[in-house]
Amino acid sequence: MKLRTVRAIFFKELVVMLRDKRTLLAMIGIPIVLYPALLVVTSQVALMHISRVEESTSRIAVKAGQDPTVGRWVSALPRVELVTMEEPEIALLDGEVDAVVVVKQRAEEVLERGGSLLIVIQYDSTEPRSREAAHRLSEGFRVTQTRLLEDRLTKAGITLDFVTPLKFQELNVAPAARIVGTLLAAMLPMIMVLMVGIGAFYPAVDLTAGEKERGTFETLLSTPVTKFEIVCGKFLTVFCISMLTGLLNLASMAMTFTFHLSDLLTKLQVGTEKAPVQFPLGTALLMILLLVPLALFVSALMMSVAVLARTFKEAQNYVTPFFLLITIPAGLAGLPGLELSAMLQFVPIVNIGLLFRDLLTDRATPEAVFSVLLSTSVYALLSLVCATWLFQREDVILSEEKGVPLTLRRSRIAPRGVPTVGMAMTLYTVILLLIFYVGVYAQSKHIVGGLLITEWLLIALPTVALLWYLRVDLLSALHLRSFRLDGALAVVAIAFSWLVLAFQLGIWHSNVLPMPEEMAKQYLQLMHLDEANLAVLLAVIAVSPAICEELLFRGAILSGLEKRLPAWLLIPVVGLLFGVFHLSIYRVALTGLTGMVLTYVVWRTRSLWNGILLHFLFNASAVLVASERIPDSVSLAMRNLSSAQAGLPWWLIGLAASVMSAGIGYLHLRFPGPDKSASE
Amino acid sequence: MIRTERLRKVYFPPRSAPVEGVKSATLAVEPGEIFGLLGPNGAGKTTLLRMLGTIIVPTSGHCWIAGLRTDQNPDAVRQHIGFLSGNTKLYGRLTAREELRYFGYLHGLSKERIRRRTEELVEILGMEEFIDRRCDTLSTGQSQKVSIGRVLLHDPEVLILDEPTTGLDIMTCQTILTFIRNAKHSGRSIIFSTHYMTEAEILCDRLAFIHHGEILATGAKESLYEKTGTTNLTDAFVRLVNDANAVPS
Repeated sequence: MKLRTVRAIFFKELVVMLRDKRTLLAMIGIPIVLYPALLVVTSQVALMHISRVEESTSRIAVKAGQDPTVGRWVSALPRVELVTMEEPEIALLDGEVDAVVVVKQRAEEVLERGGSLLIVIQYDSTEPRSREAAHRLSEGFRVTQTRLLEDRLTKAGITLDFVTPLKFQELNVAPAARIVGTLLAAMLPMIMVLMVGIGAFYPAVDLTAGEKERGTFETLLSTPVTKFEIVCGKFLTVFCISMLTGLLNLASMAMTFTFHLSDLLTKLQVGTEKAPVQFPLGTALLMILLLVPLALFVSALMMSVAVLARTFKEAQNYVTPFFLLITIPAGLAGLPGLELSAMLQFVPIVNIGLLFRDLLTDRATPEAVFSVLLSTSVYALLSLVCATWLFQREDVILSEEKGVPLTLRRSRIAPRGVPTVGMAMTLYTVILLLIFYVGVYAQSKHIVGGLLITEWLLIALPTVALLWYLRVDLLSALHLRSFRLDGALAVVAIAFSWLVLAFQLGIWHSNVLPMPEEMAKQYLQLMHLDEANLAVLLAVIAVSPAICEELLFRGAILSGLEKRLPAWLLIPVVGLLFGVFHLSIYRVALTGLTGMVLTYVVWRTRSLWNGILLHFLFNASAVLVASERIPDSVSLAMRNLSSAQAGLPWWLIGLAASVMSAGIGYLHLRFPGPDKSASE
Repeated sequence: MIRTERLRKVYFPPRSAPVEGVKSATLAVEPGEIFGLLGPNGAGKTTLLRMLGTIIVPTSGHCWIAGLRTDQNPDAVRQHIGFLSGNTKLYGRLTAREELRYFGYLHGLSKERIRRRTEELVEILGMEEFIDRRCDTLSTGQSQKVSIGRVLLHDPEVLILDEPTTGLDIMTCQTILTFIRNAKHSGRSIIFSTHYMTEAEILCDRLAFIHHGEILATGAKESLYEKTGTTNLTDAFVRLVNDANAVPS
């Protein structure tokens, strides 16, 4: 990939987009006008409404013939008009009066004998005027109540304070910032996702389907640039405009709220502070950081959808429903009570929405920020891979047929020898997500069954199924063609010597980064999980991983990456992918190194069988040693050899290293490696 | 300069049976030669030229341009090609000068080289009047000149022109035909498709008839007259098509 080309495409597309009025409107017009307008209009409407209700006169009805005392109290209240009618309840429902006061007793009599008078206030809670009337009445009656009580107490020679040992008052001390935060948290996530989407919408459509429609795509394809460079250039443009739109919105919103919201809050008499509300800077910066993967994700997805269309209009028809689809999860963040749980941290869009909300209400944890950032980046990467794949397909790019040009029928996919990098990485990510969502759950329910499901259904099956579906030549992609006995013998030597070395490395590793005791215990439990049945233990921990994980890593991923990476990078990368796959920071280093040994062996011998053999021997021996199922003499010898702190004696480490070097040297000299065997 | 060997392209439309766009095309074009590709609409001309231009990948067969195999080095191959077709339009929101500068960058030319080449081309093609106008305000003739400028900018050895004169007025046609002749004199290999027989008759050193994805005959026009017993290309083509239909392959 030439950066100069990508830059040229990026700048040209940016210029082209900025010369388009629709983009400018969506990017700059909306944020500049929307928020001030929204705030001014809502605050004015709210204020008008409140003052209208407050200043109006409430019509209170009493039934004709009802005791007049309460009626007199009511008509003495400010801004209240008393009417007498035959059927006040009906008048209330019809909205002719705002509230009805019903008294069934004779007030003077009840009060005279020191009784308690029941006053019922009927109102209609759906009517603001009626609610206000009911409020005025209760307040009025409360005052009257206090006056009557005081009279009675005075007669009995008691003060009011005597019967009111406690006086209390509710005072809202929520800082205005938090009130603003809560207000914003309800709507900001959705608006941000919406704005990032609106920003990406026109560029995504214009630079793909629009370019097809205007007939300039073929011009671009006739130049010496690669499809990947084209995707990158265009994608960067869409991303930048999407990001800019998001930022402008954030800025406009922050400014609107800083300058006008405090004013509004004062008018509405919310909160205790009169100081201007600040949009917290740290929060704003974090949100900008989160906007990056969000904009990456949305841009890549929109481009993937839009490139399927042949015309601008058709693309709009495809992207609009998709656009609505992503705003719904963002709206979920407005739901009260929905927490950003560990599971939701990995659900795209929802996680960003909830995290925005938590940031604004000061509840976000660093872990949540990290995993949302990470998972959104992973989704962004996946959708970028998808967009690149679509751009590579000439039936998508040059389609002249009606409708979606893409077909998923297997017979239409061109057969190929080995998978592409995109296929390998997609497989890796998909399986990682499967394990994360399904595997971990299954293992928590039943350890043996869960492990078997993970290995066979979540690792081996998707690997083979995807390669089969994409018409990849399974035997050559999975390196299943060749097998040589001398290679296998060398592999056995490597397996046992690496076991010794790994054992020692494990001791050093635990000195540097000791595994928490809980976790170590879990592992031990796992090893002893079925003391009676060694066969099950071997099947779960040695045979299944050896076959299933090798199919994925040394099969699909290795053959996908080896054409693109030089050997010195290929082996560490596949090894590291294998290490990360074990989803534990305490195991990354050792499994990563083991992964590199496995990768080297398969890469050099061109045979997955050797990988399976090595993986099996390594895991099986580890199981046997850890579960103490080795002959007593060996076990005793081992115990004599190793001390808990320093580990194995140097002569044994040296011996293992020599055997391992010899094994690797043998493979290096006696096997042709990938280049020669490819040309054969 | 251009050589193809049993080039074949099969399309897989989503909702219908596979279509063989080009069946088995073998041909060669030398430097300083104009090679015409003649055939009715839908004969497979565009498909064949798109394969030469590495816009699409052949289903089977090989193709060499300037000594490079198109399936192995598609990006390097495009450095040697100027590709012009009805589908290679200009960016309406760029000016003609920006257009040339952009394609210069994509071909890896230096800033200075782009500036010099643009000046030369403006003079040769007579673009002074509209070089700084946006392309969506240009007339068809002016756009076509900018497109020719775009094709010649990086001085390619091979020109692939897909129906460059279709739908153009007489004056613009003349501009194109002059451009093709000049390119021949400067030693480029030119392959171009058309369904105007007279145009081919005047211009081409050699030509090929293509029909239903199959090359019916290749050669200089005289040899084609001789082979079919006719005196003009239209008759020769009709004769060949009738013969092909009479003997179902």
